[in-house]
Amino acid sequence: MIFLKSMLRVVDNSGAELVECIKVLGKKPTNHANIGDKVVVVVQNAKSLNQHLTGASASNRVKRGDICRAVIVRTKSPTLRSDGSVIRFDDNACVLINQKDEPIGTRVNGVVARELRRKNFGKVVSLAPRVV
Amino acid sequence: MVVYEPLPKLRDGKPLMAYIRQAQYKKLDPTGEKLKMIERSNPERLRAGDVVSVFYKNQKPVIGAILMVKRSGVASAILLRNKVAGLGVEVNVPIFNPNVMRIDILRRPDTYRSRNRHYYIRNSRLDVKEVKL
Amino acid sequence: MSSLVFKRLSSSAILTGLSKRQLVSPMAIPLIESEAPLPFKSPEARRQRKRLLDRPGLIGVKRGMTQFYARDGTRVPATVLEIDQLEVIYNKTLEKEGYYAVQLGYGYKLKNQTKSMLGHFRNAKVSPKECLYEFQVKSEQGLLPLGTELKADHFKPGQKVDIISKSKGKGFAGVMKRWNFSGLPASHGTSLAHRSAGSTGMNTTPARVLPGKKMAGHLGDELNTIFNLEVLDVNAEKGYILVKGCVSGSIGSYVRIRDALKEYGSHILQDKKTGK
Repeated sequence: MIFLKSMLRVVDNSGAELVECIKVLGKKPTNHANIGDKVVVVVQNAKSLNQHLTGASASNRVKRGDICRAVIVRTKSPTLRSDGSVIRFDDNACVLINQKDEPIGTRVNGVVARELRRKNFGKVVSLAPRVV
Repeated sequence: MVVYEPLPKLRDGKPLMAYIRQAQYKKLDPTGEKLKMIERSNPERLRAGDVVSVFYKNQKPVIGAILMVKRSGVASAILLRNKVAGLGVEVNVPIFNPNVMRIDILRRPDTYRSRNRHYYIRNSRLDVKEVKL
Repeated sequence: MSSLVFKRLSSSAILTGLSKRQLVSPMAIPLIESEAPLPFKSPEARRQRKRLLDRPGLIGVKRGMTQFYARDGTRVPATVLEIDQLEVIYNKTLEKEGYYAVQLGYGYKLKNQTKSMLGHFRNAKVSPKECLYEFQVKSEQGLLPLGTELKADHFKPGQKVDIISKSKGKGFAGVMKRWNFSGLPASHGTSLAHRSAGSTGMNTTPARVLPGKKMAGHLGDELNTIFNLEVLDVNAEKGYILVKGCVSGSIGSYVRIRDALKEYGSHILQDKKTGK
């Protein structure tokens, strides 16, 4: 359940580390996002530019104060699956995307939920090292 | 006044929900293996603290330590907790789902903790360690 | 009157072999009798406008909820409805009652039955029943012989049904619970009125509360219909139906189950036009 003002960890190499949700897209009237939903975020913490170890090109990197879109990949609140099982993670995390729903970064670190594939974020799933 | 005899009651008048429960166990758990796994009278039952792996028909197995066992008929479930790259992941598995093939116990603790539901170990020094197959 | 004159004209033109364009004085044509149209508000006209089903439904008892696994492993919530000792008691006909309906009775109860009701059951040669309901049907073909026993296999898995039952009574409820009002503010001078409705209308004009104003009052314990529930499982031998989702009312309450009206029902007038 990601609301306005929720803080999210970023798990890609776009440069952002911590972002704040400023809008949940397409979820009225409940206005909360779950795994696979899109949000608009503002970057609160970003890695400094001289850290080029991650391998992303400089044009793709984001700075503190940038506004961009993101897709939720993990939530603390439980997500019900159609077979009756429930999954929850210990943090809220997202991956930054552009207007065409493609990830900005070239890598995804850490585990992501399987629900993303059904919501047409197959690229995020294929980049991730572990899918639960 | 003429009064006609009533029709005989179905199931000899036994309660319907009891029959439904039995029929569902018969359909979802024909060998009785899954039911035995969570029965309190069974000394080899699943308990909070055990490390288990759940094998599915159509997806990869799920591994983790049991945080709690929920006993409620065919809705019975186990809550598994594991660490993936240092991050806690919890999966609630309904064990009577027909896609759950079997549940293997990988490891049991030497001594069990004194509670049946181990929610309090989350993010503490008692938290589960990363388990892999 | 104008429509009557028009009718005379059109029919007389055929009678006399004149073309339709020719002017004929209404007084020159002998009287032709036409059927009086049904008054719009008459019971028969209402019946013909109503959406009806071909066959009656069933009476059941809500016995609780459980979960149902589909073949692919998806889990859905299901309500268990018991169907037992269900028989046809009476048929209502167009000639006598003004509409076609099948009256069904559920269960068995002898205590506190009146003599008139015992006679009613004797006519159908069935035992005294706990619960009676009637189901209106479209035509005479929908009526069933008296004393027919109906079983759960009346319905098939996969079809849609409507379920009518009484919701749980909530007693006298305030506007926040009954109509989802927001109530008044928690602070800023609100005194002993945090859950009240606020204003109920205007000032000197109209100087009254408009009809239909949402206010506090009795909530629940009224008939509620849930449309288009899917039938998951049917067992006539053991006497139960499983439907997807939940049903109004407490465990042990009587429910009426019928084929989904919006999917399988049709109007008599429309059938006449389409020639069904």
